[in-house]
Amino acid sequence: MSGHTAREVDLSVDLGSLELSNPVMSASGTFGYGDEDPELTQVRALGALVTKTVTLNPRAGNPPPRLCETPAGLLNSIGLQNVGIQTFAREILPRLQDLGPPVIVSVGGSTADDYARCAEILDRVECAALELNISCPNVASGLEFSRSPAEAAKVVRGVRRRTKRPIFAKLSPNVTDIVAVGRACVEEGADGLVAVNTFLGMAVDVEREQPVLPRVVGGLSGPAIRPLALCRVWELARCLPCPVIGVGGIVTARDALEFLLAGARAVQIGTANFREPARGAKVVAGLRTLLDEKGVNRLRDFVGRLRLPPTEVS
Amino acid sequence: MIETGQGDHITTCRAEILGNRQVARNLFRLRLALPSDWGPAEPGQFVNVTPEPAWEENVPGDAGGSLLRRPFSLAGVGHEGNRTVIEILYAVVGKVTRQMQRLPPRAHLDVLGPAGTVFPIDPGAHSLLVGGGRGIAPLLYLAAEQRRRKLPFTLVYGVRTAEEWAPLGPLARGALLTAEDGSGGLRGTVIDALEQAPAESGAAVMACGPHGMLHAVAKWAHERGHTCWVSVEEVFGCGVALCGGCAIPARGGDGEYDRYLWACRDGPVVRSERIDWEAWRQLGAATPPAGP
Ligand SMILES: Cc1cc2nc3c(=O)[nH]c(=O)nc-3n(C[C@H](O)[C@H](O)[C@H](O)COP(=O)(O)OP(=O)(O)OC[C@H]3O[C@@H](n4cnc5c(N)ncnc54)[C@H](O)[C@@H]3O)c2cc1C
Ligand SMILES: Cc1cc2nc3c(=O)[nH]c(=O)nc-3n(C[C@H](O)[C@H](O)[C@H](O)COP(=O)(O)O)c2cc1C
Repeated sequence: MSGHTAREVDLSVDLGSLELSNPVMSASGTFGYGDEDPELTQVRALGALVTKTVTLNPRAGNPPPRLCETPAGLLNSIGLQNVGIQTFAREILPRLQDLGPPVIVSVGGSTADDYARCAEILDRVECAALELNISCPNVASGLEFSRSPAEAAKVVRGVRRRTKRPIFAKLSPNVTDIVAVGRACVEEGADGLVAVNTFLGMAVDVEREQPVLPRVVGGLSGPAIRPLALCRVWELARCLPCPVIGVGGIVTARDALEFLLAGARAVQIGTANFREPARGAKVVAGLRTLLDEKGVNRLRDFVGRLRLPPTEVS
Repeated sequence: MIETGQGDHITTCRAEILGNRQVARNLFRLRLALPSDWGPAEPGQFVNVTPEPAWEENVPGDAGGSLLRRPFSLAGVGHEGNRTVIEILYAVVGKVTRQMQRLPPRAHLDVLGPAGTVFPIDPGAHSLLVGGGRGIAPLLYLAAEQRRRKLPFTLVYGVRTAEEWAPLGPLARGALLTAEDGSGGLRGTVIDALEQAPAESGAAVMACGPHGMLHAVAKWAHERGHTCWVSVEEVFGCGVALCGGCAIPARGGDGEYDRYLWACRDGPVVRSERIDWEAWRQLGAATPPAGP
């Protein structure tokens, strides 16, 4: 039945105990801390705001150049430049609360204990949830905890002891079995999984005969990785019971629907913000229109309803 | 002194191309029409542009298009009828600038801006405005603004060879022009020209150009006790401090976090003392290819 307006589509979703008015979030590290020019980014329209990753101590980040555009993609080597959790909690986080959307703080660390200590600090202030970045490819000190189920489990376990807030573990796609890592996180009490962080990649400057990025390899993001990310999200969503938040190459509402059909409960917009800072808001509006056109009244009814061909053996 | 002009009125909008023509060897002038309430912009600021159609119409990559915008300094801003008209001077060096070169009048370009810090204007000083190669772009805007406000300045413009000079129009009067190969003006670099600048000038030096030139101008100014402001370049991701991609080695900060400044947010116009020139040189950054 048509006749109802696009506005009526109920886009709300729940991620465990966290309720969102719509499923679109910013992806960590692609939206500043979240308060960079709210008019331009239209941050208010988002279902949730994810901050850039914050670490126990301030970090300078990597030497330039930090970016290299590749076909339909972007290689980055930012190296988690951030002000550190103390300054963040004291000066930045209070400002983010006024923006509107629930604030999910992305936390990184060099040891499992770093994450736990950050969680402790965050437990004393206001925030909606924690996203554990156990998957940054751009730092030396083994931040890719999510390369191993045991290491990932250790990080989640430490944080779970320190906070009652929802915890989402952000996974690396640079593994053979992402489901094993996801399962280890869930078993230690993660409330949901975010998939995926960037894919390891590399570019060479043929004239200078040297790597474009000083650290040689970086993380690949953007539309180029969308099918790769989607596949990881689908595997996680069909194998594990917890909410999965899909991220990787999403630009339009149509792209977001691909992830939602494949079982993602919510999505994040990353690199697309760089061309259009208000991309997230556009995706929210586009979801209303597209779902309405499909005759879907509630997004919850739509999530995961991918129709598999009869030959697909589970 | 004005130190930052960022964040106030940045918008994204579709601009119509009024003109796009070659003005010197590998240098093109693009004139764009924007809504009358665009900005306000000031000299030193940049726009971040993309020739790609709206995403809903085209998936980037499908047609070999570009993903990110590309930054260009404002070379001039004016008003015509009920429109704001901005000017960009660009060199063709890669994917997007090649695409830009082919854009005919009436075609569209998506423009984000105006963004970034501005050149401070000190009404008390006779300033030296120093441009190297395509780095002349923001100084043309600054010079025009100084001229309009009847503030004293000397424009110094260096190129490798005379064919690379962009026409200066009314700003040519009193300008010091250099060509490295001696094919016109003074033989040599902008440093040679600075030695001939009027005695009363220099209290403030504003410069834009390749890394080596900027470093030399900064040293020259420092040795004479002049204040030097430079407009710097690094590869940009977003231009609005969302990504942290445009890091430049910095000096004089007080912590680990201050080791880099961001060209888009802390710049593009920064005090020359804030830059760790040697570290930046070693990284081999900031020297875009000369182009065809
Ligand atoms: C604040 C700012 C203002 C600028 N103003 C002007 C201007 O007024 N006129 C003008 O012609 N150009 C200007 N530039 C440089 C311009 O942005 C680049 O030339 C442009 O992005 C190249 O795009 P492309 O797609 O043609 O090249 P690409 O295909 O992206 O790159 C071609 C080659 O150029 C290198 N490169 C690209 N951008 C830069 C950069 N910023 N610094 C160093 N190397 C780079 C790439 O690494 C690659 O090797 C400015 C840059 C900044 C940051
Ligand atoms: C410049 C840049 C910086 C990033 N910084 C972070 C970060 O600090 N923490 C994190 O968890 N992910 C970070 N990411 C990864 C993104 O959050 C996202 O997982 C990835 O880019 C894939 O999504 P996309 O294709 O939509 O960008 C970063 C990505 C980019 C491009």
